[in-house]
Amino acid sequence: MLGQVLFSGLALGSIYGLVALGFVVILKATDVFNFAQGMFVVCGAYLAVTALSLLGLPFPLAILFIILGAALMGMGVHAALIRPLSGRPILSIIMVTIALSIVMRAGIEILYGPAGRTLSTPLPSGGFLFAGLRISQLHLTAAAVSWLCMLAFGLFFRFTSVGLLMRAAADSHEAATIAGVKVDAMNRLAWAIGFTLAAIGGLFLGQLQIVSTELETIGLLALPAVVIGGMQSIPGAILGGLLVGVIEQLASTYISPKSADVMIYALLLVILLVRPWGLLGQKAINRV
Amino acid sequence: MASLLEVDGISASYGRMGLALDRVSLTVEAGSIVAILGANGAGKTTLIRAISGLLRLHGGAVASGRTLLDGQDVTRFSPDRIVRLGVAQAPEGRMVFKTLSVEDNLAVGAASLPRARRGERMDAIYHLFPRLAERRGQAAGLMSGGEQQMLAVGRALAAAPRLMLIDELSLGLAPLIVKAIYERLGEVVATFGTAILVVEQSARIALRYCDRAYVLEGGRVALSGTAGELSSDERMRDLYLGAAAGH
Repeated sequence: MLGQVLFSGLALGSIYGLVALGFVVILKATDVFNFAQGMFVVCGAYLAVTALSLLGLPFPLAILFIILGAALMGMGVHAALIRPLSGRPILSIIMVTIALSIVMRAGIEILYGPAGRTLSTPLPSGGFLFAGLRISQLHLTAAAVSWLCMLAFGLFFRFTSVGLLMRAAADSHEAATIAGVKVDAMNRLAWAIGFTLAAIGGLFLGQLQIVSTELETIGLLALPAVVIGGMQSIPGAILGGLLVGVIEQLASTYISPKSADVMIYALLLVILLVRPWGLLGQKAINRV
Repeated sequence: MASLLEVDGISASYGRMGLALDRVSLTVEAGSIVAILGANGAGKTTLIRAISGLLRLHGGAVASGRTLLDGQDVTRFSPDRIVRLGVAQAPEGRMVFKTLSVEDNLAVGAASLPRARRGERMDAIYHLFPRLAERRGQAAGLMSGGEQQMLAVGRALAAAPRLMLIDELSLGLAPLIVKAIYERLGEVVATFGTAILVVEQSARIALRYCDRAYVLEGGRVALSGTAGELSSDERMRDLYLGAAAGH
């Protein structure tokens, strides 16, 4: 029983980690605490519905459609809302992300109707027994793809020259501008990546559940994940995502489904009280 | 033939706060070291920002005048384009990337070069500043002020500039370190042919290491000339050298 719960917790947690990673990429690059990240997840699920059910694209093309669509939307949000507001107080920008999420929800419900839709993909959806556990292939695929995406991003960020320029821009916009980095382009790229990672999460969450704007709540689990893991930390976001997934599954199985949120936010509160910089975050060091 | 850098009657301001630069003109020839002197608020940093395209980032703008690089008008170019045209900067406050390693800091500077030239360029900088080579894996934020200044200069040099701008090179640094960095700059000019435009607080240092100097007062060029001319200028001695000698 416990093994079963841990398996689904870790699988779901991997998706949360992926969404949280997207959140941190945006936060590091542009200092925006993005409350619309949950709706980005929903957008990913609806991009999948559009590509597979409405347009009837073959699966590989549908994946391309989702990734390109999400990346373009991320750039659009940056160009239309974030860039014009850069330099404004943090609170104004946070309000804009909240407004954006509400508008996106309304827009989606206008376009697609309020009812949920099922999403079917050619991904394996059966299950098999392994060491006494019933392993759902969809959960396994979701976790594997999430880890692949996280790994790919980590390698890109750490080892490529564009990744280096992104890290430089995230360190200091002014210093990066002086060093000749196209900071605007780096920020746009960060929003594209952040949106895309959320959308990939949405593709799987939409399939594990039902595609509706209610997925936003699940997408927003990225927020406690990031705070628990450490706001500016990429490994922290992933660890936070896994923890949130495991706690959610343990609480819903052993206490009650509704208690999951209570437990997650209780942990968040404890972390904020005793280790406000998060598990893997760093205390603000020598920021001048 | 056109000079490497020609600032031609630049006026600039921040918002409505009056002119921070008032028709400033100066010239930097290839391979020379030129100093900008002046008290706080004289417009030295504004002048550097006007040349490097950074005024807008600080809410300022060029009102009139032109900056010519090899005769090409670059007045309204974006900062990254100006870097790519061969003007790199070590800014006031050094502004190294604190969370990145020394090596990564230099690599960001070198990123505007073609890939094949980057490694060789970084080696040349490590050769110039062996201290940076020793610390190549360390986070820049953990280094001393002098080392950060070397890194800021190294990052600018990594872009293989024809002209390097240095704002407040000696501010807050021990005299021995200032001397060491200026001696390296002499090597830079000799080996790479890079020209240097440096904002300097200390007139004595400037006149010792630079070919020419311009003195700004209230956003205008009050005095200018070769180091030799200025050393014997009476006004210069009364206002700047006298005060500097007394510290």
